[in-house]
Amino acid sequence: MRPLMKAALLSTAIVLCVAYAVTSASAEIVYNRGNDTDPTTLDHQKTSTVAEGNLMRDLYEGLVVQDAAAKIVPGVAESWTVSDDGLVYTFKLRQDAKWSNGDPVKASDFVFAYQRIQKPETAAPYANMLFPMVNAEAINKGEKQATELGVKAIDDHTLEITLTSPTPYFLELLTHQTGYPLHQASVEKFGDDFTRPGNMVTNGAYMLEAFTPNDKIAMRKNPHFHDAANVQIDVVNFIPFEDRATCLRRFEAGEVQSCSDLDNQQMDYMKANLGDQLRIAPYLGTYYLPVKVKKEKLADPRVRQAISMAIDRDFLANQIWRGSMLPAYSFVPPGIGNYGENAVLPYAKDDILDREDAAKALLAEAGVAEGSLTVELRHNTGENHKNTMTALSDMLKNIGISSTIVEMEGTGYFDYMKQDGDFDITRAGWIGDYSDPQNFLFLFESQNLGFNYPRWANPEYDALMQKAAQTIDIDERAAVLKQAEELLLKEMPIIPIMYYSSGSLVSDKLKGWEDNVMNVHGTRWLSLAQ
Amino acid sequence: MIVYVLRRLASAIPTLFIIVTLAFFMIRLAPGGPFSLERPLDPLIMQNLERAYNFDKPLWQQYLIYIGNLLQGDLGPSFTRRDFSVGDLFRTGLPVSIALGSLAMSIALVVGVLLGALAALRQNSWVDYTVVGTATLGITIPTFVIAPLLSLSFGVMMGWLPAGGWGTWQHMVLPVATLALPQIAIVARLTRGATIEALRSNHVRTARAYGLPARVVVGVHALRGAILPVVSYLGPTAAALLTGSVVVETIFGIPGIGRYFVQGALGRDYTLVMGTVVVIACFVIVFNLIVDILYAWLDPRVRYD
Amino acid sequence: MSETTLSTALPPAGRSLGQDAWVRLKRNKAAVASAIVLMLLAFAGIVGPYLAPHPYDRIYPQYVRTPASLEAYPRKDAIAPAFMSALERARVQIGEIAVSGTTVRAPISSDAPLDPRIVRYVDRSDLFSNARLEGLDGKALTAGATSGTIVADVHRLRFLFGTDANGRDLLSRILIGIRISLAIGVLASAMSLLLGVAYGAIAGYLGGRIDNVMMRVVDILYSLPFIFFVILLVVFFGRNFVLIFIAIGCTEWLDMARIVRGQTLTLKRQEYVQAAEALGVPDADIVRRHIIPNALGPVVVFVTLLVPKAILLESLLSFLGLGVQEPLTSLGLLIAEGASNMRGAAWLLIYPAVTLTTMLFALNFLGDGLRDALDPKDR
Repeated sequence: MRPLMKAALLSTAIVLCVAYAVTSASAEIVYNRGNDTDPTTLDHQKTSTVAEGNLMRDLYEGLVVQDAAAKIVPGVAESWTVSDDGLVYTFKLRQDAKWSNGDPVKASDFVFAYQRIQKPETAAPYANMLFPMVNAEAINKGEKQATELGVKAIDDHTLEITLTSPTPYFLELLTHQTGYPLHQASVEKFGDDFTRPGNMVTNGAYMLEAFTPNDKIAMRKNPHFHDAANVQIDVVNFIPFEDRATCLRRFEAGEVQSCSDLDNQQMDYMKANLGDQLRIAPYLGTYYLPVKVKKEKLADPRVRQAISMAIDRDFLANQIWRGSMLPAYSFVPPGIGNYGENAVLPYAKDDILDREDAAKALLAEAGVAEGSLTVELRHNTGENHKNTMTALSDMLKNIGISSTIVEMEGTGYFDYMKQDGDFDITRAGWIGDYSDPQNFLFLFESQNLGFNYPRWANPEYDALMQKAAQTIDIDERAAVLKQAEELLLKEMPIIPIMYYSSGSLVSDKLKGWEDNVMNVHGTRWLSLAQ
Repeated sequence: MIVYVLRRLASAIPTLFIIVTLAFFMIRLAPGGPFSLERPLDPLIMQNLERAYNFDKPLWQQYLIYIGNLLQGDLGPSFTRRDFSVGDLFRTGLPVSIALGSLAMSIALVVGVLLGALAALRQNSWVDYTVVGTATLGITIPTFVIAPLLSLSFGVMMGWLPAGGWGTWQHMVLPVATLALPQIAIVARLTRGATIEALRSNHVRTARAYGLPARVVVGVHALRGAILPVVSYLGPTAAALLTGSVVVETIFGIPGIGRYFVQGALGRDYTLVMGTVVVIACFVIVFNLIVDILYAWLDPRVRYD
Repeated sequence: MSETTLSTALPPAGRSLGQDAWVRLKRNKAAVASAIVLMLLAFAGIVGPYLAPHPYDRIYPQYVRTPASLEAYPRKDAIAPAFMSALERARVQIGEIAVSGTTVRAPISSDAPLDPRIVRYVDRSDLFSNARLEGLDGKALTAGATSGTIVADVHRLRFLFGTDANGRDLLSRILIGIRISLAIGVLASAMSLLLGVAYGAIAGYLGGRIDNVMMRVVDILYSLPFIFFVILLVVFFGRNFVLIFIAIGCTEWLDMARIVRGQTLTLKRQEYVQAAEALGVPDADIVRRHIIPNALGPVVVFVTLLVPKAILLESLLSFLGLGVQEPLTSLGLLIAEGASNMRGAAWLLIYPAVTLTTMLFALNFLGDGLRDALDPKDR
């Protein structure tokens, strides 16, 4: 034990000395940016969360990127063409795209990356994002060789991608971190260690400088980036905040210039004191209640509909969530791309008392006597879920349904739902990966056992989703998807109750932060006034 | 004495082994796994992941692999922080936790003993009442209330110190204060009680009768006896303080190892949890030994062969 | 045998340890005051929730996060707007709203005949009760009338400590919190008392190899972090009131076992124990009749320190989100919720914190008093 102690003390001393050295001020523009958590890894092909997406957006540049308003603009590709059947995309890569070590970004870097992500041994959690590419799924299953993937480097600056079916949201997909390239030479040289500071080579506006877990990830401006002249911030430190209140305090103390999430408990305080620095914007996400349709007491859609009617969504959004959520009467959130008018529950505009009467009538029709139904409301530990369930329980009481609340710790909770746990009603949330209704509606396809918590199986719904996948015309496809959503809302295996908003704190000094529905804010578009 | 220390260290090895075994199987019994995220994985991808991390092997085989690696000093890869091995995480986190913990402990020891002795010497005076009252208050307020209060008042409102984060000595002030406050309170109470008792004991009375100056009587004879309960209290406390505090680290955003335990257990990062268990157990064992040695040194009646 | 009977005959009064301690405890003012405070708190926890003006799980949707106040709600200037918003839901034309004393009235009219059921929109509000329709002349509304007056009583509610984020009365929640926290403290301590005393006494009395093994087990458990244990329990069995005190009890008995073992080792060498051994009294009887009763002094003192410790541990669990289940609550849970509402809704932190601090203060002083009273050296 002795050497361990000694080493520990020695390193403490070193840390303290270094800490002193670092404090000396410099003329660099440093942006301390709050993020939700640390990433699981900096290997972008093995990431899946929003927080990881924020990091990768600064480190890498895909074929296309999202600008400050989340609009798709050229990235590494300066132009592209799509074949008439919507199946072949040909990207022309820009000549001046460079990696952080000065190497040119070549079409083969994309081919390498897209092949690697599908290899079973990579075990990429989000490999399915790129399944629209020819043979992707088969490679991921180990049935085909990676070289058979529908991606080809015609020459160093021309990339051709072939899809299995026309995918109107394919460019959207490419903005996700799974669509970024990899520096083939360094990945092959360092293996799993290619993400270490010093080893990591990236092609985005920033490059990795240091990663201290639970402290920060430091990135420095990439001098080789093709648009480096317009990148204003020299250093960006991503700081993980598990505790939202901590971020708020450090924001107020001027130690961080933005927070990626809000502490709901202090909503009133922030509204009163932070003015324009508090940003609440619509977001592509829905907070909903999966109902286990297999249970006899909940098998009748009328019962599920009645429960939905009795939920006062305005109260939940405005009182419990203090305006950081919006009341939801559909599953697909408004503002989504490739979709027309939303499907909406018919009683969206009705008064809650009238809805309660209708709910009671429905329950009677379904043969449920008042007071005879008891349901369990299950939720995971987390900010406001407990308060939400407490309020829900009270609302159900109004239509004669009694309920008990059960709280579960996070990891076990999602496993429990996935593995067909014996629940009545739970809560879940879905944030869209790309702006397309398919990304929401596919959750409840009957073979989608990972996401279909209610275990709802409806052949008609599956058929509609199939049909949409085969439809090329955007409007026609939108109509089919809308039909599917209407069916979902009629059968009500899940009860949508709120749309998420993205909440951020953005300092007055931080310019260029545009609220957008994808909640993406690449640091290269921002600038910081001193 | 050296023989005694060696024997104690040798007997720690089977203890550690049992702890590791217990912890390994207990954490594996918990439902869920390191890849159970809110966003479920495709079953296919899940299989790939499990194969990559040996989870497809039978449990006993995984256990043997783990023990084998542990014997070579390898704590394994972290599942939730895959750019680091568990060893890496402790190499960066442990110095931070030790710096905070040892500072807090030293402060608690010095301030607590001084206050406690002062209160004992002025028993039933306003000094005594103030110390006892404040000490009790210090024990009763949870850290998760003190920490945000300090951060808010000194960090946000007055702006004297950083509200959170890590890097300079200023960053250490508030977390150390948060950690030290309840310990000061407890040490002061313990010292007070023991000093009062020691002042009444025969050897102190004798020393007084010999006409030794009060300074010497209190400083050498009384306090030496009075420090014993403090030492036996500080043993396990030191082990706990040096291995980090979840609450303080979360609220101040400090990259110590205290959070790894809870993060690891909740995220089912098996190797990270195991690593934390091993480190904590080592600290507990070492500090228990230190306490026993200090005891022998402070109290001549205690002898180890 | 006659000799043994003789030796147990009571000597003259004043010898009983218990009586002696009791007298000295009564002389300690801080301890007596603490005992009284504790009894009051226990009484509040047991009976309080029945006497409180609001049930602890009753939600008042109109009173979410209402600050603490001695004055009754609703405030005068809040009545008319609330009445207006309630009536708007009834979709009728509303005239001038008049508030007089505890009643509020407004003329209403509609194109269709007024539906008498619209009073429920007003009744639903937490602010009003007993809503009724009257004709414009003040008499009961005639069927088919298209205009009339709606009258309702203002429902006065008092939230002495304010309400929480769900609109529940904080005072009532504190009362139930006292009950749960005290129960956890007492039950966890009782659990560790049972386990620790039995284990320590057996280990100490049997000694030798068995003692070695038993103490090694304690050492091992000591090195396993408490949170590990709790998280596992919660993960296995879900959260549950019983589980929490079992978890705390299971971790706190280790100290107890050590103390009792130390005491036992000392007691074992006492003449009366050796005499009993010589007489052939079974081991179990010796432990039960001699060892445990005589080791009780330090144990009692330790227990009074254990109760606050258990309460604080429970509050740590609550902070980590592993505490008791809604709608029940504990002081620790209330404080954890309050701590995150420190700004904007300070009352949510202050009142539970003051309650918990008072409780722990009293427990600490009572513990000190007991220690002094039971200390044999002071006699």
